[in-house]
Amino acid sequence: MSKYSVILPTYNERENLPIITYLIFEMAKKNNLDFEIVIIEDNSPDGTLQVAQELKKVYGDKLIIHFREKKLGLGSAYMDGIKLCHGNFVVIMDADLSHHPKYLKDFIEKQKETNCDIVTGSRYINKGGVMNWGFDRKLTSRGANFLASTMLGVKCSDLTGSFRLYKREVLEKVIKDVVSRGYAFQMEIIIRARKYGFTVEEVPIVFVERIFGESKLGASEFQIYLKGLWKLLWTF
Amino acid sequence: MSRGTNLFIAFSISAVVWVITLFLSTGYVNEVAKSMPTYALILYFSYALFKVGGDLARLKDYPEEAESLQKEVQEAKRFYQQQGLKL
Repeated sequence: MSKYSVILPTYNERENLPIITYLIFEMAKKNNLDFEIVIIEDNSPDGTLQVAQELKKVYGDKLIIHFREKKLGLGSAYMDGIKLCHGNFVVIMDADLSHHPKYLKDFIEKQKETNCDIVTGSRYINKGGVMNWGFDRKLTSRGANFLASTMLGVKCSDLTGSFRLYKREVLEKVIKDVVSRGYAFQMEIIIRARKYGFTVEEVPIVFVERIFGESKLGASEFQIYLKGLWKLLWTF
Repeated sequence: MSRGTNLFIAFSISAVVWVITLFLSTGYVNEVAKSMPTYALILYFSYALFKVGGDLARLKDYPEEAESLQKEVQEAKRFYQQQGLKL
């Protein structure tokens, strides 16, 4: 039987963490799936670590907590997370409830049906969508994806998405070569995976903008994105 | 070769062909050749407008997802209260 490990990087997610944990394990119980969660906690000032430790009293060994002294970024969070995973499949997703765990069942079904190496959630295919996004956010996101797909020549409807299921060995191979940060990081994973000949399938998801906590998006994110895109142009 | 290098080479070759055409052509062909870069830019931005505009029009909102998530948040809170957790 397959085992699924979810890597959840957290920073100031004390309100969202209990909810996402509950939703993941409820989904797993409902569908008779073997899941564990690996929390990568970067010393949040809001007490997220203490909340995670309380949750461990309920979920026991199915919840693994890895504490880091400071905010070290997503890439290193995934690399640290993989080392602690016991699953043969790894899920990466956001902890702020914008990625709903109910879609994991669809991801798993798609993977079994196609035996693909990566399943990526897409907001931009049929039955996919968003909620609580203003027009400017929608325009920025679609514009960014358009720019990336024309400049890089990559066919993927949602290149910057970060809700994905990987075969463990695929993520291990791809992630150690990734150099980008931010949204370009997610794009680089897909591009590298395709270069290695790994197969990618898409599943529609609805992305609900976070309801608790503060977004970590800022104006500098778009600048980092453009720099990352430019770098990818000369890497592949 | 990287994608950037390929694009740079394609662009350079197009630029050289355009410059040669500009110098060697006369009359109507010369007039058309002068407008080609502007036309190419207009074509690209029109395509971008069409593609992004169409994608935006198709990008759906799902208010029911936000409502259902709120209910699940309450369900989760009740679960943890029953477990006696103070979060």
